[in-house]
Amino acid sequence: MLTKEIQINNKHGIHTRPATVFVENASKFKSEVHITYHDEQVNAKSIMGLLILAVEPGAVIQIEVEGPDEQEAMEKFVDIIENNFYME
Amino acid sequence: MLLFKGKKVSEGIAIGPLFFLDKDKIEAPEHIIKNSEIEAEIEKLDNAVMACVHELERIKEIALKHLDDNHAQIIEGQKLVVSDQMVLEEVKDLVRTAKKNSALAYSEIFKKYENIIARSFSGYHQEREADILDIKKRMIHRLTSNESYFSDSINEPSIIVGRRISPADLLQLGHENIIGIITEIGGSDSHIAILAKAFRIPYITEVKDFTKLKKYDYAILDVSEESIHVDLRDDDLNYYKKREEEFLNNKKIQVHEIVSKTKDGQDFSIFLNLEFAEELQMLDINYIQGIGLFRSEFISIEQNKLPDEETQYNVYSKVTKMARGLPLIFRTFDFGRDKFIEMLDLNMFHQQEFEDWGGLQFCLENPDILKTQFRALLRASQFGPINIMLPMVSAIDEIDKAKQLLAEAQIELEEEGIDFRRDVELGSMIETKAVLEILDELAENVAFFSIGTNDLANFLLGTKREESDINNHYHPKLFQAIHKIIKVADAHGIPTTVCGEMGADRYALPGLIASGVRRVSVAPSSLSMVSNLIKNISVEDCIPLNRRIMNSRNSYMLLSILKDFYYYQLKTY
Repeated sequence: MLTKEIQINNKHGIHTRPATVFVENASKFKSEVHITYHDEQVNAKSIMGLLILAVEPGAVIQIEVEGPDEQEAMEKFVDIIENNFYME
Repeated sequence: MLLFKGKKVSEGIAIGPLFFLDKDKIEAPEHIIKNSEIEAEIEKLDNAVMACVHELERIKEIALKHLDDNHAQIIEGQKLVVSDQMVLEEVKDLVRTAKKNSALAYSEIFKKYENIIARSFSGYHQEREADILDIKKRMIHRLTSNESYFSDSINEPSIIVGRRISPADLLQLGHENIIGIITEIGGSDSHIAILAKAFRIPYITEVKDFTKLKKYDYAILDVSEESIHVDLRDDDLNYYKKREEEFLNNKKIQVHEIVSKTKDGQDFSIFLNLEFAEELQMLDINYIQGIGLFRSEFISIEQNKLPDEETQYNVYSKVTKMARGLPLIFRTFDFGRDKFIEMLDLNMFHQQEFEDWGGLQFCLENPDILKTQFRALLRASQFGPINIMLPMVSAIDEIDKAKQLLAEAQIELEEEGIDFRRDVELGSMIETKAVLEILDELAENVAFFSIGTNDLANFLLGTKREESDINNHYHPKLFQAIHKIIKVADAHGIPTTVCGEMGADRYALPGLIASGVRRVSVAPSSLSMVSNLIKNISVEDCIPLNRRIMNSRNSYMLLSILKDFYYYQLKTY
């Protein structure tokens, strides 16, 4: 299992469109993906889960990946977040 | 006396209960299911999810092709929400443990998430989250598909009130029971406006303090005063009741005569614009000379999707049979982005601005849509002499492509042994700026012209649909363009019809005759007025007008010329 803490820096936090990008990508991996924020943990393959976290800009979230492709998956998630969910 | 002010869309007056249309309030049925029904409910849920995902995939494909990535992403988000396993598992649990029907369970679970999201996000997000949560509506609709889209239906004649009302709403509620329409948003050129006018339903929009209206359940909608009265004394009420009675008496279109010649005996045709077969029933067909424009896109709007061949065939053959051998021109789907979006009920795109896109181009980019429509039209042609008109034409190769598709449809029908007329001809709408540059070549390639004055005016004057102004009808540029179009058409021996609102404008009509127009196609409600006018106009008297029109410099000058003619030359008025 891999865990990583990472800061969300895009303009409006994890709202619909970033969440869509994240879930689309998370669903491509076999590994289980969980995100923890404010003591709440959700499955990152569930868009509703991500949305109810209401992650604000500047917040630090914890990503947890477990499974056969966890290494590759984590790299992808870091890339997504560092590139502000590939938006603008 | 309490009143709300708004903006006039469709004339009339209505007194009655207010019916608030709030689509977000679609309610699931309350009933509890039996143990034996649990698995069937779960299956129903899975099927509904699959159907929604499938539908959204199709919409996404079209959005990618015609809108942009951002819109496609929103639809992708909706797809993820609708197929979210976490949500679905919770719903299934609720069905199994609490024995709630699937729609009710779905609605409850979804509500829970909606509340969390609404609480946790600030204003910026709430607006956006609304888009994605919009799909609850689709799901509940799927799950209760045996029931109406709306939990309530209108039981008595009512004035319907909504922030924004779509044509689909109006049609699903049934226009017979709608005596008035009030909206907060919606221009006089919108589809709901066209519908309201077609059915002669009084309609007022851009109502101030709209939300406060919700406190009342009964009102007087007076379009000519642009007011809604909610609190009236009895003697005032009597005054309005009398006026409503008058309005209702005149509502049925009385046509006693439609002339086919001007005062000095020259041929002039007055055709009809139609959106629905039902409109023909409101008229005495014996007086009608022909249908110059049947707007086919309303079939889609009515159904909220692209209609298949059979649905289209049914409508076209119904109209063709009702027209009893009269000339009848069907216009192929005129989908601008706006209409397309309205059709799919993609509310989130409403605020976008779309230009330079639509009409024929949309259909040519999706050739199956146009070919299917051609097939349905050709099949209907066995019942009467129909022709087909293409909207928003801007280049010759568009005509070539359409002809190719028409030929393909003909070959297919021939091979399938299906009967159709071989003499169905293609005509072109003249309503874009680009087409004015290729009129000669176009005239060689189509059987007739039809001038859409509303769009043509917007293109020529650089105005947008929502700002289209009646004064556009009096702009010299528009008359110059029409004069040019008629000259080209006459030189090539093809007929031209003016089928925009200008043809039914009492001041503009003599000017059109001066420019060479000999055929107009107008809304049913304008038939009598236009006929009366033509009866009293001599073509010869109009001819000198043309020089003055061509020389006028702006719409004010031109309008005064036209008014002068109307009031002093046409002495009967």
